[in-house]
Amino acid sequence: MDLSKQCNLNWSRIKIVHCTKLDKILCIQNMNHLDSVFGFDFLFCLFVWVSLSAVFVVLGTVSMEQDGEKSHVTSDDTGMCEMVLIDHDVDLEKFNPSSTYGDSGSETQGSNGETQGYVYSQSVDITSSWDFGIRRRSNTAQRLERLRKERQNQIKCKNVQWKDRNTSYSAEELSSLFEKKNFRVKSPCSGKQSILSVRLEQCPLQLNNPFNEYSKFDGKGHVGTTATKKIDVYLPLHASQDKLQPMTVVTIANAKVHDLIGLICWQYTSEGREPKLNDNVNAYCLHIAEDDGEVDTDFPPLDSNEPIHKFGFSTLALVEKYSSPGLAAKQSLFVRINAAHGFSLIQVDSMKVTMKDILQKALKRRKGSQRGSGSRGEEISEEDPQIDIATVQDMLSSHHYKSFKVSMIHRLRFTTDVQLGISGDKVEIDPVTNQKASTKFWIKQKPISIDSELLCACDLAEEKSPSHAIFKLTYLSNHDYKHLYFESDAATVNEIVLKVNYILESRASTARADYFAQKQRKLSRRTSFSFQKEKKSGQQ
Amino acid sequence: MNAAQGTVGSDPVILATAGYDHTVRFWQAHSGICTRTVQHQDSVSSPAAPPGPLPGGGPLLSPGGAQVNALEITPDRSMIAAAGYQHIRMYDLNSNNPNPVINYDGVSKNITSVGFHEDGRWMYTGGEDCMARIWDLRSRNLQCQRIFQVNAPINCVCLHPNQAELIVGDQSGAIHIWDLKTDHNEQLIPEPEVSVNSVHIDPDASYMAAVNSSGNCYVWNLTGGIGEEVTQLIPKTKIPAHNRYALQCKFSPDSTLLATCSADQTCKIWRTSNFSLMTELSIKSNNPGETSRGWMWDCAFSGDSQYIVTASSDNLARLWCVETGEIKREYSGHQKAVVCLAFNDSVLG
Repeated sequence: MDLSKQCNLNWSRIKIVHCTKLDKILCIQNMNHLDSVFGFDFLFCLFVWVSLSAVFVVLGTVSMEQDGEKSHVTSDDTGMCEMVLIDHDVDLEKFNPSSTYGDSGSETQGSNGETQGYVYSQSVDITSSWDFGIRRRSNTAQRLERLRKERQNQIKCKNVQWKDRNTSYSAEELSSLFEKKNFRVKSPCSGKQSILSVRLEQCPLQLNNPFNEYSKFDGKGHVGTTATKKIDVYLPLHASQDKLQPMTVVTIANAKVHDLIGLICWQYTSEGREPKLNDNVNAYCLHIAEDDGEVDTDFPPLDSNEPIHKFGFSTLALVEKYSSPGLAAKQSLFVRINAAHGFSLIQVDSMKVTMKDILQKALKRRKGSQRGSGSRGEEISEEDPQIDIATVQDMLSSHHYKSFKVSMIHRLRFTTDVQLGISGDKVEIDPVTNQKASTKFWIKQKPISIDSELLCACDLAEEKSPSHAIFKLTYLSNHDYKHLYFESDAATVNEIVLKVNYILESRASTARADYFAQKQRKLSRRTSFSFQKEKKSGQQ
Repeated sequence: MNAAQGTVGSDPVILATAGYDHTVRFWQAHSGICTRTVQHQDSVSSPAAPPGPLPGGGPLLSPGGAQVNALEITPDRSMIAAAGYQHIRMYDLNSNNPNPVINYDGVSKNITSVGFHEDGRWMYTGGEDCMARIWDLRSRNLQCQRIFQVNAPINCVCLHPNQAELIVGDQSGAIHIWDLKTDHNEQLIPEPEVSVNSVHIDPDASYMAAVNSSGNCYVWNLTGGIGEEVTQLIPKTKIPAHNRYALQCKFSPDSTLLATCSADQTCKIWRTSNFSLMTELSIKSNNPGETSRGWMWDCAFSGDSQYIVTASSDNLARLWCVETGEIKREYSGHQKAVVCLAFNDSVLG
């Protein structure tokens, strides 16, 4: 773009190096002929120049040579010019009336409509690399938004400024405005109960909500002030109901799933619903539910540690973990008989077993093993109660690796075939690939490996027939006790239970001790029965 | 026992707590459920921790915080006043509006104390700007608007049951009695240079009690105060109530008990017959190694003086049985220290 042609002026004093808009403005300033041709444009440019020259005075590096040989390019590293120009760029576009004027003799306007437009639009040379304009605007925009909201709230709020009352009071004014009331005349109210006292009498046990710590996640009192989420929770805890009505819970949005479960339990308890919930929040989990209350079992329960606002579901169901009815685990009762070489576990059916029975069982085992071991050529004295080959054999072999083919029972009684590998160090559960019916395809069984330190318990759950028994394996995983159920024939199940219990007893891990301690704390009916009390109490 | 369906103001029992977590919470006192929360925001960011003591003075209130220093329910139960930094905000009790409906400002520094004339004609405040003010709530020409200036930041203001005398306690240890009718004032200084943190007069106007940062509780007998009789204060006793700062004192509605709250984690209840200790309400832990769980900041008796609610900096408010000292209810929900409460309980019959 060559301004000299357009301007038709004396350029002797200025040599144009490259024609940025900046230079154009400078050129205009040096024109002696302040032609009214420019009119409005010129005045505005003059204004812009004045502001720019102020900037340049500060920066101070403009120089123009008279002789036309040398020239200078000025640049501004601070970015100030860019900022000013960018703002002005926009404004100049608004104030661009020249395209509407037509060709009234001014070559600036007439000759080159495109050039004209180009002049007033964003210069190719001046681009802001620092996004000054953008960042500034967004900060300001945010602040403006906040102020606007505050102002809106304040509009509804009446503002009263303190004002001093300038005139002084006369004595009469004071006594009339501030009369001394006769306070001795009072309505007789002493001796009567207050409403709070009456209400407290009516509900004396309200404090005993074990989930009180979760009440702070209740969003009911916060609507409009904090982000809250309203969820309908189905409570499929008693089958006697035909129609399940969901309980509406309002939680603050940044609660975690674990906190929400606690809040649900708290609200349930404070509403006095029956049956009473398990004290432990960890006994429950949340599943997605349909609007009619049907629990969606395809998806796993919501992860306890995720914040609730991550999930879009507004209908959930509170489900008790491990709620397979009929698999309420009974603990296998073992009598631990300590011999010189270790200990022996004898399974008994109930606490009511007599010592005679135990002794008979123990002798039977020894005799039986003696029969078995007799073939090995070892002489065992029957009168010697100390050496119990059966015990030693069981004990030693318990740590050896042995694998069993069993079925693992999943939720809702679906089973998959697995290979259970038990050794002194760990328990491994590997899926057996040939699944039966295609309807079970959605149950993905991943191989599980449990370190023996994390094993807590292994109990016989059910023995229906010689061909069908169920046992439960409990282990610690991520601070939670997990239970797995397996079924097989009775002999296998009993063997596994015995084997695992030997391992558990010999390892005496802290996970197991904690597990039992927790059970004791829950005042469970199940107890451990043992001859050697000192060792057990040490563990617990 | 669902949360109240109606508004807070429709319930004959109103309990509100506030502190450092930018909210004022309303509770269903007999169940412990939080029924409503209102925001008490401030454009200035709030401090991280509750206040500690000023050297030689009372508890330091942080400048520019969004904490609520005092709560008071209007006598007609229509609104609750929350006194904070440079403002008093009124929230509507008869709706669920989470924002204040009236904001009183034009005062510098923290306002530490707020109360009302029993007919709602005017509101009184005291603050760190060393001034006690009367705000006219009714007349347009602000007839009742007045100022009383003292020489030190004001910690507490209390209205005599005759509705015409204001008792002002300041950080220099002085207690001023400002007669609104005659504009005279008188000073008492029970313990010089020890900040007076709370003053209270019992509903019978028989006693006045004041507690200071030494942990002492001073009691005066009151006479006169009706008609033309001047109120006279005769020193009655000094109770060495606590061995740390005493923060609040309150007489029970039936005038038989006096409660004092302290930084020593206790609230002690004294019989006004002989000023002997009746009950100690403590939040101290049994573990000797454990440091302070929190200060007892505020308390309020139930309408029949059977129960008392306390606010403490362990984020909890509690309801105690006065005679047995048993905790009946805990009000948990605040995320930070609770330093003030307002309790309005109705009596049957």
